Amino acid sequence: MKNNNVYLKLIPHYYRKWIYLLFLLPVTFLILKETEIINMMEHSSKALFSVLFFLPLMLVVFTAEKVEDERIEKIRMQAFGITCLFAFTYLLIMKIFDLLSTNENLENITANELVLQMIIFYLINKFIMLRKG
Amino acid sequence: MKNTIKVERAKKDMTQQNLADLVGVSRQTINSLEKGRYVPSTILALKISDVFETSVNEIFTLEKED
Repeated sequence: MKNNNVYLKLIPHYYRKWIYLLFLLPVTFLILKETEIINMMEHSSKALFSVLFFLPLMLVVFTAEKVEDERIEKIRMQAFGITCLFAFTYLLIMKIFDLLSTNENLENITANELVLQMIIFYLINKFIMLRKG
Repeated sequence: MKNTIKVERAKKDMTQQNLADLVGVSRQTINSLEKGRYVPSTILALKISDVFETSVNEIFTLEKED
């Protein structure tokens, strides 16, 4: 019987160790910036750090597990769903808080911050679900 | 839904890892199946019944609440 379930195309598990090595890039960048070997504008360095930090995080999210089976696929989809729900709720609460607040200095959450929180929430969620079985 | 995977596995003197390798899933998936935390797809149920040389109905049975 042909399995016609549509699964996400993921990066093979083999590449995970290389992806973990990519986390050295933002760390190296921070060290170089702190020691002032790299001299950049505050805004540019923040943007570059975001890119260097997001890239391996996103790759980790879309990397396959050692044994990729239907249970892991289901857990992944559940974690994606819960993460979307978390993001919508979070944005809604922030908007309501923004409307009710009289503090004009309150900053809106940036897309970068939201995506970062979503990725971290997703990874924690998936980890807990995998442990629970 | 309950199942007799653990019993069938014991009859064949098979470890969870052996069964997992034969049906192409992870050991954790077999563990979840045995504990009733995960309900398999039709394909996986058929593969498991194939390994134990029995029918799917003999391994997986519906409960009242299903």
